Amino acid sequence: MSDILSIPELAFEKILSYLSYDEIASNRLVSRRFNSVCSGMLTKGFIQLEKKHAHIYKFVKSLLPKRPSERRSNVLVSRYCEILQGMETRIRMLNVTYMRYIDQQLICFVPGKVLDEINRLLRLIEMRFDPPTNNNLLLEELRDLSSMAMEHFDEHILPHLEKREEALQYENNLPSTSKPSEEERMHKELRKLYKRNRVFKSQLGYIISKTRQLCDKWNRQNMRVKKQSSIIKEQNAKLLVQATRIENHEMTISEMKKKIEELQSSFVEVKSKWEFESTQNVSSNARIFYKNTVPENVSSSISKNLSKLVQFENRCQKPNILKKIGNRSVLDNRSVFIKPRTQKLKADELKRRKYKSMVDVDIWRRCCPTSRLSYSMWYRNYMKNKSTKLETLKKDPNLEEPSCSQSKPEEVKSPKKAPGFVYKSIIKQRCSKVFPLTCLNLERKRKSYVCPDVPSKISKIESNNNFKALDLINKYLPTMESNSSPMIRKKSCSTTNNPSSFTTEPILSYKRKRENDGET
Amino acid sequence: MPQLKLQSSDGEIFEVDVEIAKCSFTIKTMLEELGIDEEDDEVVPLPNVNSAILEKVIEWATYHKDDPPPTEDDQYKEKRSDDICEWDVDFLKVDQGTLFEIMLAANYLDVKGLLDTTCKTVANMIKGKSADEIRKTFNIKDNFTVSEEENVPKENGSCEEK
Repeated sequence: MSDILSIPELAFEKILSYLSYDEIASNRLVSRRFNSVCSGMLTKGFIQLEKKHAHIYKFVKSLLPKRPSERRSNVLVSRYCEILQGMETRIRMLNVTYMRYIDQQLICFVPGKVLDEINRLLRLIEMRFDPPTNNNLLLEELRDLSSMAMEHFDEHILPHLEKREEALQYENNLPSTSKPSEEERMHKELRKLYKRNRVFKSQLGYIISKTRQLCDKWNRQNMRVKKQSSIIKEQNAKLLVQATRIENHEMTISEMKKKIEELQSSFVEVKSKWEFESTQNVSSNARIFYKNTVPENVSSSISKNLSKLVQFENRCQKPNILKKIGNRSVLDNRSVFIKPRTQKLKADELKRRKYKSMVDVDIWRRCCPTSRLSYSMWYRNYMKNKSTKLETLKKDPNLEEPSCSQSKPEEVKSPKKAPGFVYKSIIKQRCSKVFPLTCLNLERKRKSYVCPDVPSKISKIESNNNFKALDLINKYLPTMESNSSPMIRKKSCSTTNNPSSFTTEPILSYKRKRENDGET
Repeated sequence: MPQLKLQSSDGEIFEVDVEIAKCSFTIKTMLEELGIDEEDDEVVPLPNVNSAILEKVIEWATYHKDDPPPTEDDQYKEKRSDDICEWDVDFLKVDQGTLFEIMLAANYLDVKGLLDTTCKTVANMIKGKSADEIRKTFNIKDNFTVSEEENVPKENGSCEEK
């Protein structure tokens, strides 16, 4: 069978928790078990009520305004505060009275009635009751009970407790001789703890300083960010303005472009008209001056013959060029293909010569002095030169004909230009008047094919590079060319009216020259 | 409803609904932590509770199965012992031994409602009684030493009016 003393302490405390502290205090007398459990509950109850009071007092204080003058307006809270303040003084007095001996486990918190009263008052404040105007009435019971308990303690309990304390001290002092080592240990531990505390303090100070620095940095960065954001806003606004301006500029530029295009188109039209008119004028003039001498289809025939001549010239010179470019490897490769084509090449060479002669004839027709006046002048000069030559030959038959004897008629025309023969000036004088562009180009082309060294270089030059081409012609001026015009002029003096008749000699001379070049 | 077999200290097995058995926090946590399935035929042994007391506990639990779950105790809350329901008063009209055994079983099985009821019943038995009366009621012997017998009443008389 189980009884009340056999139940566990928790269950026992639970049973006693349904009783008041006064009853618990009185039940201490039942038995030792009751005494131990009840005294424990009383002490525990006092500590709990102390905490509860502190908690409520803190809460009520937080409700109060900070200014004392304003506190008067909040009457209820201020009264609660006064009540709690009065309780606090009593609790402190009880604490001072009892707790020293409670800690030494010499006594429990004996006055259960005081605990009940404190508990009652705290519950009233928790329930937010309407306190009486005079707080003394409310706190009277607590003051009485607490003062009675303290008096009782001083009169009846304390003498016994002092005796007990002395006895305990005596008991503690007896083994104290064997415990200095523990005290020393404790001291050492305390010193260690003190040192650790110092270290921690220094570390804490360092961390605090660091955090302050970081906070300062953070603030600076924030300021910078704000400034930068404001600058960005300004820049964005400027950009917008600039963008609008650029758009306006683009609009104006596009308008200007359109205008320029219109002007260009109009300029081209005017230019073409002007060129057309000028060519018409020139052609009409040419027709007037060379109506009888130059046939209309000569230029076309020259161009046709020239194109064919170019083709055959290319065909003939292909192996030579390849030899020059490729040196060994090209020669080896090409030799296989070239051998069976020798007959074809020969035929091409013949055709090339044929077309070249035709071109020469046509060009001579163009370039020869056709007007009667100029021809008569040229003929007179020519005859004079011839007579002088014949006289010199008669005087000294062994004397050879000078190589540049043909240039003498030119010298007669313009004796100052004699030492530096400039082929360009002659062409310009003749062709610029009658055939400003076409004749000059044709002449250049002809020269490029007449001269064996020049053609590959001159043929590549565009018509726009007139000066370069002329320089090259002057540089590689062939001896035959210099002889050609006088030769033609020699014949022209004999047969002026029939231009086709005196074409044979220059052609033959060219043929001979080409053959000689080929052989060399 | 799934059934759970509870074996008392004297070997008697009680088939109880799991929901009723779960009134005991000890059984509830055991089922949850050990992962015993409700379909298993395993018997839960209760070595500290005999069959008579287990039967009483099951009876109480069956009656109070639909009660709301008990709240945690508030230290500062005023505790009342006069709020026991009539069925519980009749249920606990038993001898002191059975009452304390039920209290012990309730404490062991952690049936909070039953423990509270039994504690209240015992507190009601103590209330308003002097130390001698309590001794008599619960058949307690005065086991104080002479010095204690002198000191405790002296200490206790602090608030008594002269």
